[in-house]
Amino acid sequence: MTRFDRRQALTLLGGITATAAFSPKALAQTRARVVVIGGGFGGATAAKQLKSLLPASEVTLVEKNPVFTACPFSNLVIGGLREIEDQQFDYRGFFDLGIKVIQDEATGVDTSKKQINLKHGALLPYDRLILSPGIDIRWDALEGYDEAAAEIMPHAWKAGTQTLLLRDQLQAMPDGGLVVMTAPAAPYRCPPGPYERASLIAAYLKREKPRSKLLVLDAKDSFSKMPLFQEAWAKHYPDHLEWRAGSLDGRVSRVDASTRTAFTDFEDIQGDVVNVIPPQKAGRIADIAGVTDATGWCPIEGISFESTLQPGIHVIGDATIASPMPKSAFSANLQGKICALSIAQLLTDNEPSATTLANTCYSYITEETAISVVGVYRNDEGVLSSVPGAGGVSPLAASADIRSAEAIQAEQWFRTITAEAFG
Amino acid sequence: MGCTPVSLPDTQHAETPPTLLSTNSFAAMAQSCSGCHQSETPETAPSVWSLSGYEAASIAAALLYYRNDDTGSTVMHRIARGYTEEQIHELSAYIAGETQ
Repeated sequence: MTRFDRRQALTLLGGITATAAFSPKALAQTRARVVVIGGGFGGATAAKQLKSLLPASEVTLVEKNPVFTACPFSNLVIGGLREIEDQQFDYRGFFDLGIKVIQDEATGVDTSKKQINLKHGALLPYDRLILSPGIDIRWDALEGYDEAAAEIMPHAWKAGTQTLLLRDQLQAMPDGGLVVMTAPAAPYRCPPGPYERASLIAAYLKREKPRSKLLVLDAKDSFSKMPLFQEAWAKHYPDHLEWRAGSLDGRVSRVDASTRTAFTDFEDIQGDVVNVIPPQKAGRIADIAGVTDATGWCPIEGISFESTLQPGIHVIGDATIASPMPKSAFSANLQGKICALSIAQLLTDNEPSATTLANTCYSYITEETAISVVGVYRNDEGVLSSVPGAGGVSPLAASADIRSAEAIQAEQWFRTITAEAFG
Repeated sequence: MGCTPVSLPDTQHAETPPTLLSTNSFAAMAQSCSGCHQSETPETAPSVWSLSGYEAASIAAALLYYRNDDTGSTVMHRIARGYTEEQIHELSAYIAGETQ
């Protein structure tokens, strides 16, 4: 195969493949064992990219679920505009790519022996390990909110049964009901996510249950794309959505699932449907592997995404402390690719170099319109920072054409990124 | 209209891309593009075009338009402002498969 053919073939596999960039021979000859734990946007992307960069290496993806349910666009499911099946992806194509997928849960990481304990399987050795564990809920952080309470007041912040539970509760609620959402302090998965969800719940109420209302109780006074969301809310949902800032008694300190009540400093608010978006931390395996710090998240070096706490272990996606990069699927996918490239370079005795990274997040504000936020970043000397003068949000007071164009771009983004990660 | 994507021009760009700074860093830099740009343009409602099959000069011309159009507010305007003109030429050459 000539280099041109190979490049073309790889391009067909998924977008822009980085293969021919450095000594194809060294890459082809490298035989390493790379294990990826967690098959979301970060981990699935990293596994695919690693295998295409290092075809002779053994790439193993450990994921406990046979089907992945994507969070981006799951707010449309909650708003009754999309089916959960459209959010679901599996790993069947990975076998043909030469990636070994182990459906199991990693329960331990022995960093000195470089091996992983699996719940049901044998020890799994690695030369390099990538953790892409996503988030876990901090069950101890909000009084009254435990796993049993989440069955009554869903978080729906991990997509799947929780998403459907919230949707079904909204659909079962009689007209005239009060929906309450609590939004956490930063950092948490998907900074604009609560406000997109608020928009789509309000759209559902306006459409289907016009005498009902959504009250958002926020721990914060400001949030991602705030002026744009507030412009949309004033225009579309003046009677269906009220947002209360943290400093105006919006912060919820306790909940009671038995009465579906949220308690602020001065008020007890009982909802017919209560969506608690609770405080979060890195997924459990990160803690077990020793890559979390006191914040519960994972400090990383911003070029290779190697843990600053455990050499040889890389962490990508929502679990990382990568600010100003947000905890988004776009960031996780990009970090997966950059991390894979860096590992391929490290395994072939090349030094990964600093680069420019970008993130784009779309949020729906109505059924057919969306807004966006863009960030452009550098990772010089391993420290992530925003590039001055770049990035930013959609214009305020824009025409309907601009808002609907961004909704169409959002749809296409979802198709592209899920194809790159899972296709 | 602010959000209409710029069509990639067919004509050659006049400038010759400068010499390579570092192949590795442009391979990494190109990874941000494939989150949205597929290898093939979808048949239905294409609003984000595939970059496959374009010459480096065409890709660079589009990126430079976005970068230097001060009043633009599309996603690509906001992204392109984060790159130097030299980076745009190198990145475009990499995406077009004209460098390795």
